[in-house]
Amino acid sequence: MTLLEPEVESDAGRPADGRRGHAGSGHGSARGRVLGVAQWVALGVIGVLLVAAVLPGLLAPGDPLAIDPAQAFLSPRWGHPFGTDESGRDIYTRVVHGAAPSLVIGVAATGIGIALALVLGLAAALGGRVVDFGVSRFLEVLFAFPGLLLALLVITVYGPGVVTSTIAVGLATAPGYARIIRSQARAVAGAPYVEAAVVLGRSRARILGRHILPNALLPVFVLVTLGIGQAIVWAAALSYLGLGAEPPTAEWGAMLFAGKNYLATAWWMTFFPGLAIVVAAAATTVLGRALQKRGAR
Amino acid sequence: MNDAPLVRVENLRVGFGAPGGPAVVDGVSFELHAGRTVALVGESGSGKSVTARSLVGLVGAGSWVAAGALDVGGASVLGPADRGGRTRGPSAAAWRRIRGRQIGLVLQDALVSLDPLRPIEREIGDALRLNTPLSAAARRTRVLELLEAVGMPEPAERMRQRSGELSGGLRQRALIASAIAADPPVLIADEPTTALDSTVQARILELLESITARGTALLFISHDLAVVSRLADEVLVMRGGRVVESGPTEAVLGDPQHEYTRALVRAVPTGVARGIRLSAPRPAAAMPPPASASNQDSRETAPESAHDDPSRQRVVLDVRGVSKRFARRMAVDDVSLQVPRGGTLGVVGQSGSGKTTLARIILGLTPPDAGSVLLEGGAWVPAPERVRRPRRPRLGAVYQDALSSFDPRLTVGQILADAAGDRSRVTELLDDVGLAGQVADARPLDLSGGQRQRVSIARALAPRPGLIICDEPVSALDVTIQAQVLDLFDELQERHGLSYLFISHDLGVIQHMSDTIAVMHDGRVVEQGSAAEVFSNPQSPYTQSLLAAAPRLGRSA
Repeated sequence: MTLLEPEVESDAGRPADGRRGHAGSGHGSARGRVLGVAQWVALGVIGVLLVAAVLPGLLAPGDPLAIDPAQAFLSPRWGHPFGTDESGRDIYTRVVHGAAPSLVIGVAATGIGIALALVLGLAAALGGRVVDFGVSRFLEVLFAFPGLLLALLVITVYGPGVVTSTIAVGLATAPGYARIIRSQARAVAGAPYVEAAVVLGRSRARILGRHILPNALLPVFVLVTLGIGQAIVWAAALSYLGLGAEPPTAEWGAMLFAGKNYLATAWWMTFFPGLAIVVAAAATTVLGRALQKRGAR
Repeated sequence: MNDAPLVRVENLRVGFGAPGGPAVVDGVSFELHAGRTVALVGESGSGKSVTARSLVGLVGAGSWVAAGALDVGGASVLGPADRGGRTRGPSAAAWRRIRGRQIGLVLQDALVSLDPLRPIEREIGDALRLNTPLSAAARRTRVLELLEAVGMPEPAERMRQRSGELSGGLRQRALIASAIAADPPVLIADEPTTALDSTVQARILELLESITARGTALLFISHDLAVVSRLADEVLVMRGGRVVESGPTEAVLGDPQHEYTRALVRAVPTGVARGIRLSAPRPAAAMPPPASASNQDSRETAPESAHDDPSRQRVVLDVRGVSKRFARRMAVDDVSLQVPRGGTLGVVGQSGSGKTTLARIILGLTPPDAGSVLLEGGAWVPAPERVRRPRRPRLGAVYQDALSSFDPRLTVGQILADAAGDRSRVTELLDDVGLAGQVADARPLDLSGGQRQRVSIARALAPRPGLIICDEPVSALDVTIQAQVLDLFDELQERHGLSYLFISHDLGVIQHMSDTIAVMHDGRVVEQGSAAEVFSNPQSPYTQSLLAAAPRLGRSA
């Protein structure tokens, strides 16, 4: 009898007007509702990450590559809040400076994925039956491989490195986006308001630009926010496997890779870069979810 | 029949949220007696369904029910109030004994009320299994009897079918069969015929009449006064959770005392002559305000100078022998129609008669297999869209579902500016359809159904068309709102010299709106003529059956 149970608690992101199922239309005022605590924290984290990526010197004035063997394997302490690694480099400085490459890889990979998906998805949705058939079968083949495996395949062919791993992650995420874009665009292209625009005498190009693309793509850009978190994790995973950024570059995945040999003795070498990955991924995901809920209204 | 009521409701109050807070049903009282029908009438949100559901404990989560008395079969289903004032009704198990055994419930949409994966024999058999001690074999016989009783054709075959394989009318019969399976003394029917075509509706109403004739008490919920006047002994008119008027059906509907009941009765278009208002006149609309008066001049002159020849054509739209086949069915079969300038052609037919396909062909959205359409004397269909596009502004359209016809990202102002190609005309267009200027900033989602349809009409008017195709423009609206929108169509026709092709399944609406009428059946026009002729002296047997099936409101004077 779950249907009859009263709703106990609404989660942080829920709007206050929990009765829109009843009265039907929400009021205009509900549109500009305030963000919940989790969303504000996520925004704050992303703000800090952006500062770290653009002006790392502001948060950590030191040199992430400066070696000081006398200071090797120091546990977290005053002066080295995250400890030091096997060469005496300050982990905190490296985590801060690692934000840029990690975020750039995440954002660039998602960008590549979306760009590819846009071409494939829109071609399939709007290009007629033959194109749709071809693209859809191609996407199904890509779907047969787990995403990370596809990325590994690309790296195997084109060799490891930051650029290839970014492209690889982008390629691996493209089929998922493409499928969503295709179904969105198809639904919108058949929507009554598109027909209404035809009846008003609008040209195909104008209908495409004013109605179909915005309505089909807005929900996708919400997914992109969610995707960036995933792309950061994947890029870090590739670096960890030694296929992306290579030590001693200050990149979170590469730092994990370097720290794994000392896991038993120097936990902070892996813990803090790992924490950064989790926090970055979580923050973008929380924000993406909030946008998604808002968009669903 | 003895005098003890089967159901007694006294001062019923139902609300959602904190007990004692605002009530959605406030102070409703009635009694159900064997063999008698009580109708709850009202528009959406009036609280009629909530009232009915409180009798079977299905009001829903977070609700509270309070009443002076709420008795089913002589026993109260209202528990003592707890500390918070929230009443604890019977236990879930006790409610289950009431549902089906004492009160049967028939809902509007049989498609979602029946499990799509189970044959209807199992659906109806369940009602018997839970409420009667019959054996499996006896149940089977009883299901057959029930299906025969509700007039299901070929019951033995039908009982093996699933709800999706049945038509709307047959599904509703199956649902009624399951509701009366355990022979409950009380039956609640919540808008049981709203989704059905009028001929099917007539048969379901006959079925309900025969059930009450056997001694069942019926609580009938409907927004349709004509249906109610045919079925009910007693009527409660509800508005905003309160009963505004109640009494014997003939008295309430024949000589309504309350202003709202009068508005409801007046809003029914059936039998109201063309041009007579259905709603109370809006002060602003009775006399066109100066803004639209000046605009009227520009409208009169602008199209004429731009399209000198076409506007002198006597026939605005000429449909010649249009046919369209979908798979193996002829959706539209050799249809020829003409819309006179400044007049209204009503196209009436039941679902599946090809009305909407015809509208799509005329709008140039679906290419026909054969035949042609001329708009203002010029070739329109078949023609390449590129040729049609420059003349598109001459032809407007108003759709049944206004909301889905608007781009959800745009505000009303953006929609209208887009359609008019001129931002400065938004206020004037809103004014023309009786909406305040502030509506421009709203999104259609935030408007009521009637307001949305007005915006949709304003959009159709924006390019200054000569003809508007209206496809079921009022069928999703409450009756008083429908009356206002129909009146608006009339006003605009007069003000701008518009021609309409008006499509509806509702004979009353068509009769009220049309100069000439075409009756469609299975893709063909079976009868065509002036509105007066078709309604007073129908020639085709189909039109005759359609007219006979339409419930009419006994109108005094």
